[in-house]
Amino acid sequence: MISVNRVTKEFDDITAVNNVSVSVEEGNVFGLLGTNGAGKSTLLRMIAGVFKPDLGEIRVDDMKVYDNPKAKSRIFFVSDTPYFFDNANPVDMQIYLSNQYPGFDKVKYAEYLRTFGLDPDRKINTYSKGMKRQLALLLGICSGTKYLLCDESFDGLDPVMRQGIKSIFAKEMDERGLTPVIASHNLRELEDICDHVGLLHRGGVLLSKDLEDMKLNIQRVQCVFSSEEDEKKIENGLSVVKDDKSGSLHVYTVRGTREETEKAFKEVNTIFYEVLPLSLEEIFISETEVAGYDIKKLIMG
Amino acid sequence: MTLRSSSWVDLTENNKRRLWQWCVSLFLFILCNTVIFLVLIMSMDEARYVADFGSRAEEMMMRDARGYAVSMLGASGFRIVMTTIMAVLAAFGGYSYLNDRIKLDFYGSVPQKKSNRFSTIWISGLLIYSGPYIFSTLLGFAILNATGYGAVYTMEEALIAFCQLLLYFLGVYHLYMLAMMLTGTAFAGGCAFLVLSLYEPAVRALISMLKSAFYRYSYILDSFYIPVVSPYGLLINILNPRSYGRSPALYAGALAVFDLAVFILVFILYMNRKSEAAGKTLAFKSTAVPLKLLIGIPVVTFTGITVAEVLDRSRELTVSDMGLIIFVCIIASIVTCVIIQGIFELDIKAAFKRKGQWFVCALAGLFIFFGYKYDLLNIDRYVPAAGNVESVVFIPNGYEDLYTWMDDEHDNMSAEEFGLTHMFITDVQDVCDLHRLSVAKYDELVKVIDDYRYEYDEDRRFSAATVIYRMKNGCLVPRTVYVPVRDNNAMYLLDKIMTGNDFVKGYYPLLSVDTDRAIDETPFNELNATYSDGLHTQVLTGEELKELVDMYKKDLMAFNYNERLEELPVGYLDFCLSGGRNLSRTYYGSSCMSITIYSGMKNCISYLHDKEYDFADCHLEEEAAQIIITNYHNEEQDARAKELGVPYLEAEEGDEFIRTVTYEPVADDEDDGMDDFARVAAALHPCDRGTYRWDGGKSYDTRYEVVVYMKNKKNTPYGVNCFFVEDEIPEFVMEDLSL
Repeated sequence: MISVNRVTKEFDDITAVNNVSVSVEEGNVFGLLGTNGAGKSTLLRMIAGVFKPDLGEIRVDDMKVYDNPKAKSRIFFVSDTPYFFDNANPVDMQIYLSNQYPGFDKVKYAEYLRTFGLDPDRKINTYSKGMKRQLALLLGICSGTKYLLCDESFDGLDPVMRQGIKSIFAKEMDERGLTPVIASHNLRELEDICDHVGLLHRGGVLLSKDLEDMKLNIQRVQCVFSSEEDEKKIENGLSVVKDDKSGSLHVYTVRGTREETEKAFKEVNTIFYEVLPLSLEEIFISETEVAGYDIKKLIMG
Repeated sequence: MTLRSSSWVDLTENNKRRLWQWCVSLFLFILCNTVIFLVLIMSMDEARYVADFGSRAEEMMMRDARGYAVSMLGASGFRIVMTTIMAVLAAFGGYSYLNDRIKLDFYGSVPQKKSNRFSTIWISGLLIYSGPYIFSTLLGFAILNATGYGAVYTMEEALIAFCQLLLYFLGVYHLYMLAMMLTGTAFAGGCAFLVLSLYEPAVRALISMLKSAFYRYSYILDSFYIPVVSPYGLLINILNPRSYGRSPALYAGALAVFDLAVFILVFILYMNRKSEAAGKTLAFKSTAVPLKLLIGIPVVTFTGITVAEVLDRSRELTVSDMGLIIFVCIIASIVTCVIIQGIFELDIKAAFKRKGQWFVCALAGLFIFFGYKYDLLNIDRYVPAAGNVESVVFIPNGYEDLYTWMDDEHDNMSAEEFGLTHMFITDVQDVCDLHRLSVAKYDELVKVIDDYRYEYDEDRRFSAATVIYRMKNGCLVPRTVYVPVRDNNAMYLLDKIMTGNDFVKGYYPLLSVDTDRAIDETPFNELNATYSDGLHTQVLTGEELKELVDMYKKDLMAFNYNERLEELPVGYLDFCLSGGRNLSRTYYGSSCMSITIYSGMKNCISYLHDKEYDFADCHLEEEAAQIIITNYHNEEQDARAKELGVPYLEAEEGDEFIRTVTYEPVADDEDDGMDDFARVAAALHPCDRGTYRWDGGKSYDTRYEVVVYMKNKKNTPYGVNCFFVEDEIPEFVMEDLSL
């Protein structure tokens, strides 16, 4: 497990990460969402041991990570701009990284390179941006580390390749319990892959929840009340996050399970009501609007 | 195998990334060094050596082959340059990733301890330098052995040179690493390296300027300009066999300590350097203030002295002068601080932050300026207590004119350098007393001059000497002493100081040089040994030169200061010695010497007489066709100018004071001109070495300008300057030239 406990990181007068606490459970895909400058990359670099936190502590499998090779050997960091040696080809990178990561799977690496159509003997500096990102992700996957930190790594990948990488993630998670941590500013990129999402904004955590829990605990209800009294009963009895009213039609976003919500509406007189599912995007909109943020501007891309 | 237990694997991987540095190193050491050495050795022409040295040709070829070997395989300037280049490249190539955020993401996240990464890069840099160096040296030995010069240079010498250069390499390597650790960009790192390298020499130059401007008695040794906290300065002292009186091993030890200290500092900075420093000017914010003060303060002081120079430093500063200096210094402080802050922040607006530092720089800089100007610490007139002094070097500047000081290898050196390595006057009380007496007398003179009450008085004559005290604490205290050479107490002390082997051995270089060997090793056509009395010249052979120099040495061992006061120069011996061939295939270390022979040098005079080189058969009255004597009456001209209140007389007025008389041999007995001509000729001395005497001894009367026109074979006269000895001018000449 990766445990980030009350971590703060400042750059001169700017607080990039402010008292952040999150946990990344093993076997999950953790999505780290946030706008540019939200602190995602800084947090990932601290988890990878590139930056040292000013305050707080980061532990990987209960080991401090900064300048600790044992902890670092369990992490592979794919930065937003992956670095490859000058004039190196994929094999040169494999030779170096297999020396650094004892669990590097050379056979699997060769196989993936073939699958993705990456020539192992071609100089990497002749690769396209997308190919470089693929290569960086493949190196990370094949390094055999338990945790794979990906900083905006899916940007620049075409949908087919993105899907391919996601499939490999799923396979690796099944086979050896790989735990990817994916930072992105784009919610849609993470929607179909993440189990748990942390939302960073201005260096702080707005929320950190399981997607499934979030989906189960927030509902949208369309209804028309018979009387103002019934309307007040619902608003007092439920945790209403949002109420969009158009004439006599109310569209509520409320916290709680579907059962709790339906039960509340059954107890009042309504002309009509219907409990509707929320998309992940809508859930985030609701969650962040509560905190005073316009999520559309923040992360919808 | 545990996690990357194999350091060798890390090292190999690191070296793979540094292929271009290996290429540069191999290019410099193998292609440049070895190929040039091979060309030099192969181009040695035996026929030319036979022409230059005769039977000694083979010996001289060996000597020159050794010279080439020392230049190309030893700690020579050539290899120092290559070492400097490689040290900078190795440091930059190894640690420049610290300035690159993309590389830092990569290297910072791989499972390797920072300390391991540091040591891997450090060792790799060392290998990049030392591998090709050792290989090229071995190739050099192979060339020497293959060409028959195997004996000229030993492995032991090569090893010592390697150790010296390795120490130097580490110094520069660590210094550049330090610059990189303190900064976050390649440009800032380069600037920081320049600052670290040039700061001490710049501060020393500033101190020198201040002392020259404001101190009367302070003397600055050449060695003062060699930085101490610097691999360059320490290497200069290691390679300089003279090392200004200190052991080269001491400097080698100092360089090793420097290397270690900087290494430790670099390692601490590396371990504490944050990744986010990449791209910033300064990696550690805390260095900003000290850096600004360290640069700003000397700039302010420099500005102060520049303004004082413009205002004429020799006079006292008026209140308005001081106001101007303070104003300009404050402006300089502000400009400097703004520029430095701007570089730190990379932002024009931010450059005007931290205004308090402007005034700290200005105040400190001005304090140093006025500290020197008014000698607040009383440094200038400091005379060490004899009890604190171990020994003294006393150099009367110009006592022997036209003299070249040289070391055992015949390389030129300064009188101070020679004195520091050869002169150890232990009777320091005399020197201290003379110093104290001289300061008191000279201060009196300066006061009189400052009050415009000074009138020339030959008995108040001062001659400058350089005194270097070797203090018991190891420091050197150099001073300029203006000695009142006609003062009885001073004359007594001078006699005690200078009449003694301690002084003579440390002042006359020929006593310390193996002149026979030096003469043998100089090509025939470069020896150029002559003896002259000013009118006539005799060419000497190598053997004659050796014999005359031996006589000279014997005379020097009997040197007596007071006796020399009454002696006059009778001639001079000129010759040149050379050391060997340098890389441009010309002779280096050519030391040309000119030795004055005095009338009291019995052995020299006797030798010259026996060889008939003393020109005893030559008589001026027989050789001269005409003698023209002029007296400009300068003292009278000055007196008239003073009466008129002008600094000097105009040309027409001055001409009224000039008197000229011509003497010629006249056959007519009725006129006694023939006798006058003979008497004048008999009173004249052709050797021009007696026009100035440091010791105030017997010298020529410079008021009379004498030009003698000689007869030559075609009876065409040419002029030669001759001189009357003071108080020995024929009376009729004085009358003829009186006003």
